[in-house]
Amino acid sequence: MVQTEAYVILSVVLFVLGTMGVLLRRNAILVFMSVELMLNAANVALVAFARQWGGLDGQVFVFFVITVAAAEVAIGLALIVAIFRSRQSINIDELHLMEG
Amino acid sequence: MSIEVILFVIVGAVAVAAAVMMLLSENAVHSALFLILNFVCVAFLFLLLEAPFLALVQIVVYAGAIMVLFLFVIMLLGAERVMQTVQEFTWQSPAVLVLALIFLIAVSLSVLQGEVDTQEAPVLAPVLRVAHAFPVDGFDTVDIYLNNELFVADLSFREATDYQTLPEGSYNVSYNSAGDDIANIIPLATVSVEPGQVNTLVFYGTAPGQLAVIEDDLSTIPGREARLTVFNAYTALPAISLVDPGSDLTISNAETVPVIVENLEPGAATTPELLPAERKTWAFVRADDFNQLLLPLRDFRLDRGQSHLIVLAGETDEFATAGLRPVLVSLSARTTPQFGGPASVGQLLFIEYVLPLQLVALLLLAAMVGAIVLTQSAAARPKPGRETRRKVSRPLTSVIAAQTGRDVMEESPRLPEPDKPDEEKQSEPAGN
Repeated sequence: MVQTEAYVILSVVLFVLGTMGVLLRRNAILVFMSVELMLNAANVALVAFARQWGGLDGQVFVFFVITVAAAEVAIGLALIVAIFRSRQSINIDELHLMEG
Repeated sequence: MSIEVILFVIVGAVAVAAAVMMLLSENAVHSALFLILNFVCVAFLFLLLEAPFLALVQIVVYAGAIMVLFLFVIMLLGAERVMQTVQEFTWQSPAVLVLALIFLIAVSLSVLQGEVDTQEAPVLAPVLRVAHAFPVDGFDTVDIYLNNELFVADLSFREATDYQTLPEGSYNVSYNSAGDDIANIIPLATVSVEPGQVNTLVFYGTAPGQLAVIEDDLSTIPGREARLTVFNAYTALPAISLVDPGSDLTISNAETVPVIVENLEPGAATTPELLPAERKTWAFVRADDFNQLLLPLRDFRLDRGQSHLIVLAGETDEFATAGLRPVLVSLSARTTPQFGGPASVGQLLFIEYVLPLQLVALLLLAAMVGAIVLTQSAAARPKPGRETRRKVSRPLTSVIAAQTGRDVMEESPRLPEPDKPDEEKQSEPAGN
């Protein structure tokens, strides 16, 4: 049986990769994908701890995280489409002005 | 190295590689495809972590629905080419790399130092249920006491309680007729329960009553099978058997009839046995004479994933053998569903997490409405600089003129003036 530590380390690596994506990439869609990667990394840790404790609550939380991620993607992509229509760009460096 | 470790290393490496490639690829479509690969790897890790239901949800929702949405938006916007613009903050990349490395080392150290694996899974508390198969007159309904405290009240004949958790230890079981004073309780036996045990107490026999402790097995049943235990509480005969005579319930040849349980003495139980889950037509017969049918079991359902306990009990009947008529007490209990399977996750979700589930459903609904509103308002907003008035390519007058064959311009004084839009709006319905 693979130790829980191994899964948590893998989860941390994936989470850091996602964070780097959020901070380094300038394309709004790629930033969104990196956020999804971070959520997934958290899910891996949750499921690993659920197995560790022999309880299913961790898995139920993962279920909720997936649902919330789906809602977030729906709203976020709609926002990106709306922004692209008005600004003709999804580069987040060009979107830092809080104006219509 | 076990095969699980090898699988973990390979799948984990592919997951990390896919994440890195997602960060580095120039094309947004390639990034999305690498992210799908990463999600599939994570789903595989869920399978290794005994979460098959979540693995399927991960594939369907993440790799399916969400990533299709991403790809759709990328292609819709034509944003697959990632524009290499001038970085406004040149110090950002090295700073991010250093911070990420520090974070990685800090968390890894704390995970490795923190002795994550020392926690043991908790042992379950013992559970107990009581079945009433005691046929003596005056005790149709009984109260059962454990250590002189009421455990169950008004337990009627052929009924059983649900499983109830209680602390481990030794219990003096006693009973009296339902509603009777506690001073009149009749002691039965002493039962000791240990953690993790699942026991059924069957109260049977002749006055003053006997108590049998049947250890039940509620562990997970793989496949389409059911678990069966048979207990003999029919004291009028020295032994009974359970046979499978076929649907017509006639035993033509006692030598060849299939025997399920053979020679079960009163007070004895079989060991739990796995049988295919289907409808059975069985019969209880005398152990020494298979042609003497005691009690037929017509269309007895062995349900998938259930643990059944069949008790052959006696009911007072002065015309029957030794004053007892055989009756059936059938108990069943749901076995533990497979860890991480849809049944177990669903049970937890709909029993303990109903309110969060409703809230999340509301959130999804709000997100759906929000997405529609966002795209709607973006699409409906008029482009700046364009005329808001609808342009009619052919004036109505020329259509009428073409149909009637003569010019109607002079005969329609209420025709709208092009430079008075307010009047036009009012006159439009009248003109039509």
